[in-house]
Amino acid sequence: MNNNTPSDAKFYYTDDLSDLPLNGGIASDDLFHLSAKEESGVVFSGQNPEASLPNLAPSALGQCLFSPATEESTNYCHVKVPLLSVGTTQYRIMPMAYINATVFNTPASIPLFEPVEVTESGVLTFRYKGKYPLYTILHGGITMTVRVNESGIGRSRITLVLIAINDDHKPSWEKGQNNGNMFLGASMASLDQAPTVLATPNEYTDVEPDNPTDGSALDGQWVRKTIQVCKDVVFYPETTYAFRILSRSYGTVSHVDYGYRFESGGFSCMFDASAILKAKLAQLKDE
Amino acid sequence: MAYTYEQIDNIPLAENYPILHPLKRENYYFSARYHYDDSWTSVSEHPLAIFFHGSGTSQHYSPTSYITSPLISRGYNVVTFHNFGSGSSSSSPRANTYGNVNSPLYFGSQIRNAWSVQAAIEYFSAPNQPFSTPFLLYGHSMGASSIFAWSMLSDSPGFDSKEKVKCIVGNGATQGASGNYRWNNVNRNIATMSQIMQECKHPAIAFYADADDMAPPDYARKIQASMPTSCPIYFISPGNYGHNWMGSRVSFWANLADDLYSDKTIIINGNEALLGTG
Repeated sequence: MNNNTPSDAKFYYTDDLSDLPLNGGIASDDLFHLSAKEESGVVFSGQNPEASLPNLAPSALGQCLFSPATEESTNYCHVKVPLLSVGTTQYRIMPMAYINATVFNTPASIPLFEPVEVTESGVLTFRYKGKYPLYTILHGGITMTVRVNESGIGRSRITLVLIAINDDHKPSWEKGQNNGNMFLGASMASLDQAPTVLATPNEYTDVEPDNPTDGSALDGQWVRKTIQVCKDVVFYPETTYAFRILSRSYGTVSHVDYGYRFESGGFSCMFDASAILKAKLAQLKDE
Repeated sequence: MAYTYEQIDNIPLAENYPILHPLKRENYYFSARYHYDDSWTSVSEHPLAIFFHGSGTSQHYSPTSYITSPLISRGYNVVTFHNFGSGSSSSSPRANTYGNVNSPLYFGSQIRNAWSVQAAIEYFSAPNQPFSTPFLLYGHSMGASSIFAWSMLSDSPGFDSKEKVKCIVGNGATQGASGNYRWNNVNRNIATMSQIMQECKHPAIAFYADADDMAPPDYARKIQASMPTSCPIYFISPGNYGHNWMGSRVSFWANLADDLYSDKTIIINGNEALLGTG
């Protein structure tokens, strides 16, 4: 029992969030366009916050962003792009700096995916938390630099594949020869410019500057790759996914886990957020 | 009877921490102080609470500080754990870290700090340590964010230590500071912290003070509003205090932390507190 409680201590609960119709829900400062209470009203009323709280939320589209650990998001430091062992196979995985599912009327994230395995500062594998399969279209693209070797000439075809790490929850017809892999796009080796050293390595801020190191994450020969994506994909409940970088090498090529840098880009897909919002609305109306 | 401490340096990185090329694991380490009452006869009979500091902390804590003594007096061993660049820990393996305006690695930054929390848990739960699990984790600001991020990942491959912690208590959890135009992109901050706290896997108290200008009430309420029905977090305000209120109301947070660890009902001014959005 806490007998030394400040008189103005409190816990916050539903009434502080969305007692529609809104009254007194004025943002307490000028940090946000809407207060939390106003924002909840907008979200759960289909942008009609002056009305009474509806029994059911309207159908609502959401959008999910898969944002790789791009150069500007890491302040121009590299993120480890490891080989992940799954059974007897190793997959090179593109880390995501974040995966953010949004319903447009709030910056708060919707719990559509949860991280499963992470690298130093990025999400490698992620689990779909929806109750039903999500059939959607993945849009976007990535511009990346790839270290092909220490010296000499080599070319590499890079194919981006959305893969399922665990397939316990997939229908059996997804477990055939293709194992449910969803190919997203490729950058062809034939169109590689000659690999080159990084012309201005001082524009990168890799690794802690006070510690002398016996090597560099910036040495070697690099090429720039661009992969545009517009593909139909499916996410199954309780299934874990990852973005695999599949390489096919020609000539002398030796890929390393610091040899993939994501200049810019990302991917997004739409999803039906109404189930999540209806569950939330029922929770609020119970109070 | 006196409160005293032992300083521990060279705590290694978490076993599975993916150190970046070309850095060497052995060049990076953490430091901590273990605080206790020297009249205690058995360390293992007292639960261990590990504190994770905010981003502005540079010095080690004393055993009589407002962070340590309130829990020692309630029978806890207390460890104050220092992240890179603080206490006598090594510098950070990253050139730009938490809160850097030009380094908006929000979610990724929290993953990085979760690895630091993991290092503390691995070290103090090792067989050669005298402490009993499960631990109580508590933290302020960056440290609070770190323990929530660790909870999110605690059963992930490479972490696998969820059962070593019983509960967590964090004050002013945010990414960098968001209020009063201090640092940028509060919307990515909210997206990050809401997702992390939605995935919290331990009973928790999230303190957000009413006059906290780094994690202001509307920020905290937006995160709270996104919590799932299974949310294990109590959202509690100590009242009209700023971000750094823990020294002003030591009994308040220390009693609640002890209550949470001891499976007691969380009572605020006579009312039973409710989880999540209530």
